[in-house]
Amino acid sequence: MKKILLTAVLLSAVSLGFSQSVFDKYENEKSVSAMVINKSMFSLLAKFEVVADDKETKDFIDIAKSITSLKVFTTTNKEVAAAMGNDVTNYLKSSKLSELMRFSDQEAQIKFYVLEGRDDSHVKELLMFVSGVSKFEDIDINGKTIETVLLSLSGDIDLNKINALITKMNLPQELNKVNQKQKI
Amino acid sequence: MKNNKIFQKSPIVLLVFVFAIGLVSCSSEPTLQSYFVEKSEDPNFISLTLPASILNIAVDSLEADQKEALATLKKLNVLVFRNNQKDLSVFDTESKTVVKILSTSSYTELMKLKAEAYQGSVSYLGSEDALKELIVYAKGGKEGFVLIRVMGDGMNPKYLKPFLEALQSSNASIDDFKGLLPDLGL
Repeated sequence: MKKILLTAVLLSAVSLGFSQSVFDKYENEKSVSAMVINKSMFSLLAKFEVVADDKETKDFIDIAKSITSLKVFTTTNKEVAAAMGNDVTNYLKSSKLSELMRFSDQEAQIKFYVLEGRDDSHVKELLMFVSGVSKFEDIDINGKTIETVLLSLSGDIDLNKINALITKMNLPQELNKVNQKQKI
Repeated sequence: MKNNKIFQKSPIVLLVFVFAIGLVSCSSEPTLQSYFVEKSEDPNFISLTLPASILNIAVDSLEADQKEALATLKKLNVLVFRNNQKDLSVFDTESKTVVKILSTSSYTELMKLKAEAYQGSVSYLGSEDALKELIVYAKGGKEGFVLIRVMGDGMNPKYLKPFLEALQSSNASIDDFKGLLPDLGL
């Protein structure tokens, strides 16, 4: 009897734990800078803009309402960066994400993965993984060069409106490439 | 057969257990309010309350929406923990307590940030269109942490812009605050 109870409790605890993203552990990793923005923040942000008379603000309100979470992890630590890369690979195997595009910008490798949404321009999840940025000299935070960036965006995201999000929230400009691809 | 009966009963037993645990944790759930009250007596902490009136804004000259926005803000509650001991145990316990309180279901977490030794979070209490409290928590390495509660009545995100506009007309000067602030070593 006790065993059954214990198993039930443990199982529920484990399943609760796994319902979180595989990348959540990086929130507490010492050498990682993290930014996590939840759905409630986005719905508040959408309400800050009372008067929406320009396209960018309108787009921003639309996209903010549709996002359920945004996570950005950056690290300069080589081991952690490698672990992140591994996690991305494993995550791609276990989920239904497909590669949207990849490109090398000088020394940096940028890869985009998406989980398709209700139509061509909408995605349920967008994962951006940038590795090897450290060779750029012009990108640095507090004098340290960024090695690796992992950005995960979930919701019902309109790729055409992603530009408004980047501009309003100062997100990495690399994200804009998603939009450029759409136009080609 | 006997085994089967136990199986059938076990979900109920489990439910009762969960309920009991739930009830216990609800009743003893600490709130930020009780934490603030408790720590205002603690020598490790600096606590201060600033009424909204300290902004010294001439309300009569404000637009209607600015007045409305300003009226929803009541006061600011600040709690500072400065760690001046080598022993980090008190600091760790306190910061963990705060994080634990903020992770209870009454608080909605908006965002979390972390950069090297610094980390912080923003949460709120209330509903999206009528915030009761906006809570900012920031921890800086081993130096200490700050907890700020912006307390109001029905603070709505749509009031942010008119509120910032109203702030522009504030007559408060730094000197008004100086007398109120204990020596924070800033």
